[in-house]
Amino acid sequence: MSLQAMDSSHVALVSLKLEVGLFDTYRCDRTINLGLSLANMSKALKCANNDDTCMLKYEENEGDSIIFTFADPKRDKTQDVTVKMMDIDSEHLGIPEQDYAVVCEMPAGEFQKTCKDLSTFSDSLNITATKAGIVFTGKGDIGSSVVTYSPSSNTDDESEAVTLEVKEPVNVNFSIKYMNQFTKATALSDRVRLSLCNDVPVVVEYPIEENGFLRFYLAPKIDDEENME
Amino acid sequence: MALWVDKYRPKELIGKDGVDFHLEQANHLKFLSGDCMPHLLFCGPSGAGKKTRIKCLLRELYGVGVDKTQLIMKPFTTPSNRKLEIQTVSSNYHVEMTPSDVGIYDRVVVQDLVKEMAQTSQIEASSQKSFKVVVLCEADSLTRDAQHGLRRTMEKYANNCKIILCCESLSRIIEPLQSRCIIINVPAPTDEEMTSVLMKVIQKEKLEMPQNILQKIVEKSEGNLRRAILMTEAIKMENENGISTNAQIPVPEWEIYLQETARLILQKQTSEVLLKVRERLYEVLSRLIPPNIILKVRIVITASLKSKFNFQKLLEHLLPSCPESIVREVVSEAACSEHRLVMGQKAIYHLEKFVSSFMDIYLTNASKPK
Repeated sequence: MSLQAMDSSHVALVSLKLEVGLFDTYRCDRTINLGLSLANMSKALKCANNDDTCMLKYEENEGDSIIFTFADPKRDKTQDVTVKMMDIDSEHLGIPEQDYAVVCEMPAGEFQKTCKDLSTFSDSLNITATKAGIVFTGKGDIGSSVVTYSPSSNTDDESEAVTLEVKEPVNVNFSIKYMNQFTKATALSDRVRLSLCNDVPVVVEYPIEENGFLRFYLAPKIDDEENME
Repeated sequence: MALWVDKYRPKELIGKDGVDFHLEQANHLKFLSGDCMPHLLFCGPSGAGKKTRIKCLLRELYGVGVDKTQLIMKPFTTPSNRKLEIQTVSSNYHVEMTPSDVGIYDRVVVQDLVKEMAQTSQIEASSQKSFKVVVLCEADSLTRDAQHGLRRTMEKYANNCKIILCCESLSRIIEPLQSRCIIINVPAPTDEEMTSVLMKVIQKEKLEMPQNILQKIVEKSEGNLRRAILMTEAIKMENENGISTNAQIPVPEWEIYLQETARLILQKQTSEVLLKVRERLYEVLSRLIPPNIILKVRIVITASLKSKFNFQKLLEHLLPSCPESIVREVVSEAACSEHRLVMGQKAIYHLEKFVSSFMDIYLTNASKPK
C-alpha cells in the first residue's frame, strides 16, 4: 500500500509505503487508487481501541466507500465503520532513487529534540555534513544554536548510535517549520535516516518494520546571495 | 454535464484544438514557454480568453498533469493573530490563487504564502521544470501594499518561481510590477471572430440557429465571448424544440432585478424605500454578484432612466451626456463609494451609502425651483 502527497505550497512531499509483509492477511486483486480524506479516516480510526485488530475492505462494485472493521478479541465485539471515498485526481510523481552524498542515521528522538531546539532561534535550518560529523545550525535575531554530532565510536547500543556515510561534504538550508512537522513521526520508529545532497531535496525516512517506510522529501531553501545574479 | 464554455475551451495554443483568435499572439506565447520564461501579465476585458491562454501555456510547459487540480484551503495568520484561509487551486506543478479574496489581508498572503513557495526550489527537479508557477488572478484588485510586497519577491526569486498575473485593466497595477513582467494584452474578440467561434460551437452541438439570433447574441455580449457562449446555451435550454427567429435572448435575472430596484429609487425617496432597497441589495449580494458591478449597473440605469435614454447600454463607464446638473454629483458620489468598496470589508454599507446620497441629491434637485 503506498501513498504520496505534496503539501499545498509544493515544498514538501510525503511518501508512505506499507509492505505486504506488515499485514496479517493481505489480498489485492488489482492495482487501484483509493482516495480518502485523512480527517475522515482519523475519525474512523478513533473508534478503535488500542488492542483491536483492524481490517480494511474495499469492494469495487459495491459503491464508493471503504469499510474499516475493528475486532476486539477479548470481548468478541466487532465494529464496522464505512467511510465514503473522495475523488482525488492527482498524478503520482515518480521520484527516482538517487545516490545521496551523505546518509546519516540517528535516533529519532534526538533529531526531534534538535529540530525543536533550533526552531526557537531561527526559521531556517542549516545542515552541514562532513566526514568529521554532521552539524545543525540555526541562526536568528536573538541568537544562534549549533548542534554537532560525530559518528559514534562505541557501538554498545545499536539504536543510540549515529552513523554517517559521507561521499562529499554537503551544505543545505531548510525551512524548520516543515522539519518539525516531519518529526511528528518519531513515534513510528527508533531511528531516522537523513539523506542529503547539495541542491537536492533532503529525504527524512522513518523505517516501518522490515521494508515499509514513511519518507518525507523537503526542498532546500534558496540562499539569498546565490540568487542575486 | 459540463457547460459549453468549459467543453469547448481550447486546450492548446496552436493546433487542432487551439485558440481561435489572436493567433499571432498564441505563436509568441508558445515561444515564451521555455526555460527562460519571464514573469507574465495578462490583461484584457472579461471573457476575452486570458485564463484560457494561461491554462494552455501551463499545459505547454508541464503537460496534461496541470489539469488534475485540487481545491485546497490554505491557512495563514494575519499580524493581528487572526487565522484565515484562502482557497487555492493547485496541481502538482502550479498553484493558482486570488489574493484579493481575503480583502485587506492580501499583503500577508503575498508576503507569506507566495514568498514561501518562491523560496524553496522544486521538490522533484527531474520530472518537473526548474521553476514553479504561481498564477495570481484578479491582480488589479490587489492593494498597493500587496503589489509592493510582490515586486521584491518577483525580483529575487525569478529563477525559481515564475509569477503569472491576470487582470482586467493595467491602470491598477503599479509601474514597478508592470516593468518586471512581459505584458500580454488579450483584447476582446471582434464580432466576426465571435460569430465564427459561436458557429463552431453550434455545429458541434448540432444545433439549428437562425442568423439573426446569432447576430443578436453577438451584439448583446459586447465582446465577452464567455457571455456569448453562455447565452447560446441558455437559449437552447429555453427553446428545446427549436429556435425560431423571434426567440428572446434571456437577460440575466439580476440585471432585471437591479433595473426594478433603480426604478424604485427614482419613484420615491424615503427611508422605507431605503430599507426595501437594502433587502434587495442583500438578495443580489448573496448571489455573489460583485458589488462594483452592482454600482456600475445602477448608476447607468438611474442616469438613463432619468434622461429617458434607451438602457440597452448597461455596464458602461461613461454616462451619456445629460443636461441634468446632478449627474456630476451622482458620478462623484459613485466614484467615492466604489473607492470605499475596495478599501472596506462590507459592501452593503457602501452601496447603501450611495443609494441614500443619491436620494438626497435627487430630492434637493427636485425641490429646487426650476
